[in-house]
Amino acid sequence: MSLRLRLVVTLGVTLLALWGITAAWLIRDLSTQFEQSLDQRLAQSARMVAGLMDRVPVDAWRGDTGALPVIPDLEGVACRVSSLRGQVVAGTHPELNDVLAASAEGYGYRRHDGQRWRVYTLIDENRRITVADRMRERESLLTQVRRAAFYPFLLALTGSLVALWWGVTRGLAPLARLQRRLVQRDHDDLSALPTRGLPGEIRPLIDGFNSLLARTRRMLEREQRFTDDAAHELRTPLTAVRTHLQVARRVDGERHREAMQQAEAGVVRLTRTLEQLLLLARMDNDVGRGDLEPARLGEALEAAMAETHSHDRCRLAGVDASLRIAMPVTLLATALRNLIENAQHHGEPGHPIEIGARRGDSGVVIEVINQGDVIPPTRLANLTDRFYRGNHPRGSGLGLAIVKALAERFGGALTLASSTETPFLVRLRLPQAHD
Amino acid sequence: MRVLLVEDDAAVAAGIEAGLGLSEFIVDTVGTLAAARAARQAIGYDLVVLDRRLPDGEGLALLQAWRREGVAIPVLMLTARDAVASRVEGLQGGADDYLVKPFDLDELTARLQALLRRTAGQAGRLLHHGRLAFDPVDRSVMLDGVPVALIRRERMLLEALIRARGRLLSADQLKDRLYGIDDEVESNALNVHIYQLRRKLGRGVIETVRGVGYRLGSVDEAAHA
Repeated sequence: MSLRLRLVVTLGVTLLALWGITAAWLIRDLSTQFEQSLDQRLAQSARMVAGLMDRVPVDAWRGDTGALPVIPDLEGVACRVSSLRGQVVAGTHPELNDVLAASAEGYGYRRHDGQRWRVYTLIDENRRITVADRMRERESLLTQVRRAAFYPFLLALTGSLVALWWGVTRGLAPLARLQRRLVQRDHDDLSALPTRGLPGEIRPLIDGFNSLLARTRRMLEREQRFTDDAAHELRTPLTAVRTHLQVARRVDGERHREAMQQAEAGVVRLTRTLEQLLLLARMDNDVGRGDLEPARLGEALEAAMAETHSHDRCRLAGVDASLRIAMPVTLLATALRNLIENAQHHGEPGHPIEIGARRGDSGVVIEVINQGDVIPPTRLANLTDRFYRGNHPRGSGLGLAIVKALAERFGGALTLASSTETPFLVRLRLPQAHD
Repeated sequence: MRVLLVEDDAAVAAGIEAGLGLSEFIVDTVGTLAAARAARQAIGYDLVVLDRRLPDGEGLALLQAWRREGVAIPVLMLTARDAVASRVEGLQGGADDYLVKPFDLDELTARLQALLRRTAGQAGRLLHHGRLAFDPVDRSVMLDGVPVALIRRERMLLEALIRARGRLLSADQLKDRLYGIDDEVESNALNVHIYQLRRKLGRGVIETVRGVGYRLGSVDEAAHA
C-alpha cells in the first residue's frame, strides 16, 4: 500500500466519520429545537385565543345562540374553544373531532384520516382551548431546513476530501520526485542523490544513503585499483617469461641460455608475488588465528635472516631474543622477512641493516633501520599501500602491506619514519605474550 | 625499422627487445615517459610500443600529448588491464593498436608489421618496387621472382628505402634504421651496405643525391645477369 493511499484513506475515513457524527448530531439537535419552538408557538397561539376570548363580552357569544361561530378553514392548523362541560363554543374544522376533542391540558399527538396532528390543550377557569398543527406541514418544513443545511455541508465535505487528496499529493511530491529519480538511475550509478528541496523528514535517510553510496564508491575504487595492480604484478612477470621463452626457442648458444635464465627469473618473481598475494588474501579472510603458540623473537628472526641470506648484512643491536610475542612463529618470521627484504631492496647497498627489539609500554617494539635517501612524508604514507613500489622495479610492492596487515591482525601497528639520522626506520609494535 | 619501446620492467623490455631483434627491428628501450619524450625528439622512429603504466605517469597521457602536438607516429599500447573499457580508452586516446599482457611475441611482431603496412597504405604482404619484391615478414628479397641472398643490414637498408617510396633519406636517417644506440658503427659501414646492394640488385637501385642523401632508384636495368 502506497504511503499516499494510506494517508488519504486514513485521513479520509476519519474525516468522513467526524463530519458524519457532527452532521447526525446537528440534525438531531435541529429537529428537537425545531419541534420545541413549534410547540411553543402552538401553546402561545392557544394563549392568544384565550386572551382574545377574555376581551369579548361573555354575553356576546352566550346570548346569540344561533349558528355556531365557525372560522373559515385554515390549511394545516385547527383550533377549537369549548366550555368546560364540553360544549363547543367556537372553532375551525368541525370534522376534526377526534383531533380537537377535549382532553387533558398539555401536548399530545392525534391521528385523523391517516394524518398526524400535534395538539395543545389549554384549560382555564371556564374554557378549554385546543389548538392543533398538522405534522405534515411541520415535517415538510423540517425537511426544507435540513436540505438547506445539507448542501453546503456536502460541498464542504467534498471540498475537504479533494483538498486532502491534493494536499497529500503535494506534500509527498518530493518523495515522488525522489522515486522517479531512483527509477531512472543507472544500476552502476554510484553518484550521490541531490538533497536540495528534500523535506526534513527524509533528509537524514538520503544523507545516510549518500554516505553509503560514497563508501561503496570508495570501496569499489579501492577494489578496482587492487585488481588492476594485481593484474599488473602478475601479468608483467608472465609477459617476461613468455617472451623470453619464445626468444629462447628461436636462438641458440649463449643467447638461448640467457633467455632461459630471464624466463626463470620471471617465474621466481611470479611465484613470490603469488605467495604474497595468497598470504594477504588469507589474512583478509581471517584464518590462522587459532594456533596461537607464542613466538620466540630470536627463533623468528633467525628464520627470517636465513631465508633472506642476510646474516652478514643484518646488525642486531640490543635485541632481546627471549622476548615472546603473541603471534604464530611462522607469521612473525614472515613479517620480519618482509622487513629485511624491503631493506635489502631499497636500502643503500653495502650498508648494514640495523635491527633492534625491546619491551615497550604496549608490547614489543621491533625496529629495522636502513640507509638511503630521506623519503618525504607524503611518499612515506603511501609505502604501506598494496602494490606501491615507488620507482623501484624490484619487489612486488606487497612487502610492507603484508607486514602492516599482519601487525594489525594481531593488535599491533606498523609505523614508518624517515630523517637524516635514520633514512628509513620501520617500527613494528607487536603484542607481548604473557605466560 | 626502428622501434621505440617504452617499458619500465627490465625483464619484459629485454624479452621484447630480443624478440623484435629477431624480426630485424632496431629497438631502443626507455623506462620513463620523460625518456620516451626525449628519445622520440632525437630519433625518427617508425613505431612506438608504449606500456600504459610507467613510473612517472600514464603512457596514455604521453600518447594524448603527442597526438595533440600532431605526432602521427604509429603507436601500439601494452597493458596489463584487459577490461574492454580500458582498451577502448586506449584506442580513443590515440593508440593504433592494443595488446594485453602477456602476449605472444609473434602476435606483437605481426601487429607491428601490420601497423607499418597501414601507415604505408600498402595492400598486400609484399612490398614491390619494379621487378623487386620484399617480404617484411619472412625477410626475403626477390628479383623477378628469384630469391636474392642479402645479409641482415642489407635487408634492413633495402626495407627502409622501399618504405620511403622514393623519398630522399639522409645518411643519418638510414643509419638510424640500421643501428641501435649501443651499436658501434664504423664510419664507412653504410657505404659498404649500399655498395653491396647495388652489386646484388643493380647499380640503379640506390640513387645518390650528393650532399643530401639517398633514395630508391630504378631496378629496370639488368642487375646480375
